[in-house]
Amino acid sequence: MNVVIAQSDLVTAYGWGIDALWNGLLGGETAIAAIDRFAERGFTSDQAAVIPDLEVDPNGSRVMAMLNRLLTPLIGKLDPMTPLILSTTVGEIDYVERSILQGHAELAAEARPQVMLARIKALLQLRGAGMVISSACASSSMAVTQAASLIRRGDEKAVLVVACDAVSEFVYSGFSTLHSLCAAPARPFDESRNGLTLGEAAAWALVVSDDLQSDVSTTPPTPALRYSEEPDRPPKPDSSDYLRPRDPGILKSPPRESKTSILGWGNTTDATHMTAPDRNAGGLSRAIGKACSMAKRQADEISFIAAHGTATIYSDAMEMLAFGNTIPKPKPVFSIKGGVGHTLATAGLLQILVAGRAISRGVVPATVGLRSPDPAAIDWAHTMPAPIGRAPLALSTNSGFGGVNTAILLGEGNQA
Amino acid sequence: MIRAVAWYCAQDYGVFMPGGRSWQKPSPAFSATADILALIDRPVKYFGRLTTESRLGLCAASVALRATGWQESTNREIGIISSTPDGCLRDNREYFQDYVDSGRTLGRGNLFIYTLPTSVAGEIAIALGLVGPCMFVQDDARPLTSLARHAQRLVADGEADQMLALWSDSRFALCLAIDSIEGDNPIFALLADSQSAPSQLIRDLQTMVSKA
Repeated sequence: MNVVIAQSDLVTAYGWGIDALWNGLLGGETAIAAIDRFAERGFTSDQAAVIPDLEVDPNGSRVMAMLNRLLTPLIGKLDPMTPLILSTTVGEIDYVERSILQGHAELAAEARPQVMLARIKALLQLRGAGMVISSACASSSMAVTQAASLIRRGDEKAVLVVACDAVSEFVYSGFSTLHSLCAAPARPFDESRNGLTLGEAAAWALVVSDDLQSDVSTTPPTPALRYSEEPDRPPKPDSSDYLRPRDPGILKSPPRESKTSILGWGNTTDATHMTAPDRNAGGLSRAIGKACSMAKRQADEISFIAAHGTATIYSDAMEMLAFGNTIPKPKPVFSIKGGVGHTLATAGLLQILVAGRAISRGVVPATVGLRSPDPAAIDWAHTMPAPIGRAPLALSTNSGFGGVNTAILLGEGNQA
Repeated sequence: MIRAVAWYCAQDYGVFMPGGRSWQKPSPAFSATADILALIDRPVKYFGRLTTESRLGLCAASVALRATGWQESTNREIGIISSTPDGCLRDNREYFQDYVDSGRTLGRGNLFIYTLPTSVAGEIAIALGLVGPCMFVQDDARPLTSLARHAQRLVADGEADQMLALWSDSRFALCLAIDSIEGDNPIFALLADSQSAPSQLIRDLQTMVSKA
């Protein structure tokens, strides 16, 4: 069974929607800038990629501020029994910060992942299964693989994946402590790279089986977007309304552009170190091999790579080593983190959605901030957008603390 | 198939194996490092640095792995998924409280690395050489069966040859050893009955093992 991403939406520091992200990456201007939120803290950087027009309830959380706006157009559009997978690393960490800074210990409980899951289910009026999946900076790509698995095995027809993480004092201080932050905007795969820049983002993707996907561009839509006939459900609205967004942003792109096929994946662990990558790139290399094996494709068929590309010295080097280990000839590699920063749990889903856009547009973005590729990235990472051929095969990779790795192979929506 | 269920808590630890040798023993104190490390088949340099959840989880996972004998075979990819009642809330609070107490400029790296829900599973993967998938999964409605089914699906998808499914809090850890999707053995019924209180499952296991 072929599994596709039928619909999606996102917000990054470039703004709301995939168009803002895509145009920002193609334009080559970074959305990373100096922020004054932590000015007096003395961290090793003042750079971050934050959402500029986000209105945050002082009693709420930054991630829910993103999700409230991002998910509101979906309210009432989904089958209430659609399963939900929430992917985040620290989620509503604002509550932990406030519980300590304001001395209200009871607030911390609001930061539990299942509380956030319940908030999102309530917002979307969902009554089906709900699950939190977290795996450091590979969280949302891993969540997408698990959604695809549920569909491929016939356990579900559609799964909604929601990913989010925000720039917080909690996370910023931690990465500052680890000396992982770059004092200037991050430069993935550049010979002068020396650290990452944190970013914030949220995204959702409706993952469905392709027999349902074929209905998306027509009406009636997929069961995931359809009210059932059960008597206790809301009355069925006019079918032409199913895919008509309340906010046009939800379907800004033509339906064809939202079709991205999930062809195969691999999830592995380095089992070497909590924060440092395996210098032999064994874990990520195995993940890429597994993804190719599941997709029944050869690594030399890969057309381009949406890499994790954090811009730390060792992580980028590990990724390039994995690509060299597994892919016989150089392919265009890009990282979105020079544009939108490292968005933690959301990073993988953003990459998948950008890769999907690249597939539909026939062009691979350059890496924002890249000036002179590291010797290991020469012929792979590029400073200008690169054209790709027909029926491209995309590889998206993520790695994170704990030595986790994910590799996903993506194709056009009707490519099985 | 769930091949083994191991548990570890302050009072005792043990393993229940359907059709196999089940046993339980008094637990050594964490301060008795040599006794603890004897439970683990690989050298663990940093046991004293691990969080309580990681220590309990590592001990339970080690007992489960040793009972199955899986690591005696080479080229096996074993993964681990973990679940807790509240993510890593306690570790998050500990890191941020320490950072605030220290003047709100510099945190402690060795506390920060435990502020991810996967930190426990990540440490266990490193300690035991588990190179399959590693993720945190939380399903409040049916925490134990969901964990087991998720692990089964990872094996069925070919993501791992075997999976450990760990449920832990600051008092105890449970570890299921799962190697195939076939077979709803009696442990599933126990899991379903213990959804609201995983500690109940430990009591059931203790009773079953003592009667065996």
